[in-house]
Amino acid sequence: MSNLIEQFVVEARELLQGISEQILALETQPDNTEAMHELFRLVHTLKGNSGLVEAPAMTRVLHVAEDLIGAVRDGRQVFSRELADTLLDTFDFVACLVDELEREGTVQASYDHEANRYIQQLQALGGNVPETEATPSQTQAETSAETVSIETLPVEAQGVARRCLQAGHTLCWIVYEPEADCFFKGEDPFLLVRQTPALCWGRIVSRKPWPPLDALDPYHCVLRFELLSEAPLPELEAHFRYVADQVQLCTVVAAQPTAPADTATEADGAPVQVSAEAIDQILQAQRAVLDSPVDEGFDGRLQAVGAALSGLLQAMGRGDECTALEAALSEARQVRNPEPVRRWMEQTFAMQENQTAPETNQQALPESAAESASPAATEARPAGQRSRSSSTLRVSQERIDALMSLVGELVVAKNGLAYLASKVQRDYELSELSREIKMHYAVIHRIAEELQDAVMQVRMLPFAHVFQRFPRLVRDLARRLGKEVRLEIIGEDTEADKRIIESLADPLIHLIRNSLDHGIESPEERRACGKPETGLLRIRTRQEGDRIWIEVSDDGRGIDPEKIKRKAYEKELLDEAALERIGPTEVLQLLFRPGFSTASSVSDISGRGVGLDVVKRTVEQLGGNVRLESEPGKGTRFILSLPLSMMVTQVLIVEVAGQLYGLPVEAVVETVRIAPEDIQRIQHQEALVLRNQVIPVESLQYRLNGCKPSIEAADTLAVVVLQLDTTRVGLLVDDFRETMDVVLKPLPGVLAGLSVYAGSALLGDGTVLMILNPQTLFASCRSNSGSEAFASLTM
Amino acid sequence: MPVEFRKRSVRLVDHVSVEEAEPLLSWLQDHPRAQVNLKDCRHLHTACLQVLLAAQPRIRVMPSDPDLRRWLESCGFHEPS
Amino acid sequence: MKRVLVVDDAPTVRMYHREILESLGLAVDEAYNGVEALEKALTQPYDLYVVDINMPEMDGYRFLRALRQQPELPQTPAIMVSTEAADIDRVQAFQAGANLYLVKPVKPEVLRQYVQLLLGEKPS
Repeated sequence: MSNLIEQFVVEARELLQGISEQILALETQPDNTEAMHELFRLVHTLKGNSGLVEAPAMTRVLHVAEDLIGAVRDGRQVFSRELADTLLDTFDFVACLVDELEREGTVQASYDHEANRYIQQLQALGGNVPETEATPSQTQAETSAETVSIETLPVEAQGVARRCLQAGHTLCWIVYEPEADCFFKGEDPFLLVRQTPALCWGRIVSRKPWPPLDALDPYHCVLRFELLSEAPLPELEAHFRYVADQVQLCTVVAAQPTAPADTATEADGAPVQVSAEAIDQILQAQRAVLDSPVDEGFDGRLQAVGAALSGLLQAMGRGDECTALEAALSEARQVRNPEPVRRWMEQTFAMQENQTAPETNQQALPESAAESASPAATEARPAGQRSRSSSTLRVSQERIDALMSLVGELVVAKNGLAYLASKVQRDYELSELSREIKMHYAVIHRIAEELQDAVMQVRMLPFAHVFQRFPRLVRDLARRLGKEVRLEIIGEDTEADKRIIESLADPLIHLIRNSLDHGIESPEERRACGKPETGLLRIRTRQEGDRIWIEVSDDGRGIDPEKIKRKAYEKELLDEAALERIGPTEVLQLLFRPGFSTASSVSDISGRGVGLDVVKRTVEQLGGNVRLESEPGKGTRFILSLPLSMMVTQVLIVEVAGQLYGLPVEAVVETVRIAPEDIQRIQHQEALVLRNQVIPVESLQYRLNGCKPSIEAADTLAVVVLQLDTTRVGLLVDDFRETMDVVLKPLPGVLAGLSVYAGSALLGDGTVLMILNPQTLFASCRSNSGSEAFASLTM
Repeated sequence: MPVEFRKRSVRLVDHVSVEEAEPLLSWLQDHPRAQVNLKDCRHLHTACLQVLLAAQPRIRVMPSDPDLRRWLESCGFHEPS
Repeated sequence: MKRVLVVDDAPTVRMYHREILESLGLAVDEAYNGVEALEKALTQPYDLYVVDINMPEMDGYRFLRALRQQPELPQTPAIMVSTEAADIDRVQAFQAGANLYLVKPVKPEVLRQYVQLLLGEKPS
């Protein structure tokens, strides 16, 4: 049944997500009836599903939650913030149980206790019936003792409890958790339990999993006793008076009308019906069908009853009686009256006891009443958001990844063909063959591209996938910080590669935390500034070409550049000279430096040892970049730009000291060839004046191995101009080659620490190309002496 | 004696008191395949019950006391069939 | 091989019923709601239907009513499976044309037994 659990977990998570969305929607619009009905439907479905897996604790909690939500839906209960909190907590717990189920295949009884706590919380809210509707006796009963509904009891106890209640007895649910050191006080809880008056059910459970025997302390009590007793409450209170603080007594109440018949489906652990009873059930049902009013469905129903009865006869080994059944059926069809079949049934199956079945009273039910009784159920619902069973396919992540890596190999192998074509031309001078290979290459190239596109499409996920967690996050954070915040999400349908979407979750959460913590002011402060009390946090995404833009902006207090400067100076990130020269745009970028944090104390929320530098690094690892804009008093805006897909990166190949390296083309502004005398020395920095802009020049060879090439000897110099955040840098190389599509593989293990490389790629001839990471390549340069020169040069 | 240790089984008789929990535990540890005879047992102190629950030994005979027998059955103990 | 159509909007419930029915050697088809079920029933015959009540667009009652009003279709038994144990739901189910009413969750051995009886197979 592990498939079933897998399916359950997938669906449960979808349902829980929907549940959380509806609760949040209701919190802003408590009278949104559509959300209310949807919430009920989702919880109902989840409860139903949970009955199919081994998770009794989950089913019990969901049952009570469903009751409570039903009460709100029917107007018997008000949707309050407190209720929303409790529901959200409860469904978080359910989510934990789903995780547990996924891990263990079952939810252990050890969760029962915690489940009971949630059940009690829910019941505490549910008991809060508006006064006009509560009858005095009910309120009294509720105040004198806590009550539990029968459905919240362990399933094993429900059958007994139901029988006791049906017999009209009062019933008490007792949970006794003796203190750990009770044996030293001379207590014997088991004895006390065995002497409980009018005990009708009980079980002993361990509060914790048993340790190995050699670790067991027999004098440390870890047991819990769960009991049902028919004794009056005062008597039980007296019985447990010495351990009253360790005992919980609740009156058991029936929550739903108890159902007759179908005992086999009741969850009381009753043995499966013997066949005779099953046969009887089927017969009763067919009689009920025959008793239905004669309408357009009569013929069809009659035929179906015939099929059911003939199946039954065959199963009973009485297939030879089918002829008589056929005769009765055809007679009934002719007279349009079920009587002949009824008669046949009476003769064939001697009528026995079970005459109390529900259908005895249904003849009295007029057709119109039956029709009108069904509107709630028959009403068309909004089409489910989930796709239909037949139109989508769930494919495991691994299979897609395998497909993607095959496509990657195909792209590389395809490059091999291009290499072969030029080799044939160059080394063997077979231009005809070379041309033919190129033609085939072109065809394979096109197919590979389309295939790549198709696989990319499969891996695309909408941003909604990560955004769906945000409303809850923002709500909880705002509540904790005492701020009022409205979250606006625009473009959640924008899609990007799964890996990008998933890796962005943490950076985005950090930016949201940052906005709520540092950006958006408290309601009082906002009012004082003449702003609306509720702050606005906006997340917007859009696709432009093959890049994705994400903006996280708030209308908070913004960032004070002077404060940043002071701080950077204190932290020795800037010296005095730089302090004076640095421009407002550069100042903001300082926030992304490792170790920089503007909050004077590490706060609970955004100060988790993770700074904006981690955000920046994560985004850069995904081939993107982050920018920060801010206007003091007006707000802050983070702008992230990322590639649409991680699959294929276009690189410019450059040569340095006989070695080839790749540079991601999105960082390349232009390539220029210059004379050695065009390089000037400004302060300690070599630089190049290009179209009236001063661009610092660095040698790639120097960056990589510390050797300075002698530039004076060369006729022309090859310079790649790179865009780094707000500045441009010229990279001196020996030569440029072509641009090429490569599949970037992150560096394994130790090499990953060599962050001047973004990764490696396999070329068509089987050699490995190292792909440079321009951001990190120059990071060390800027954090050392370079920053002042940069600041001055790029003004 | 409420507890009689034999070679491969232990017999619990009458009221098994709290003092027996420790010896019972160490005996069950030393004799992991041993059987427990509860025929004449009328009550087990909670501490001893815990030991049985944790050790899950094989039961040779369930108690003749119907109430204790029901409790132990509800904990999953039964005679070998 | 006998065919059963399982009609339920919850994939988990469909899979649960599928596994039980397949353990009896039956071929199982699934439908997401009454509309889809009706489409499938019109294109091929089924020996049995296992139908949920609450489903989007077309619920189980309406599906069975529509099914039973198609005289040209083979009218085979239908089991209605619901979380509601109330009498009113049973009555409605039978009037719509269900041949049995079971309350969720149905234990595997219970469903197996009823399916075998309705399909004329000797219980194993």
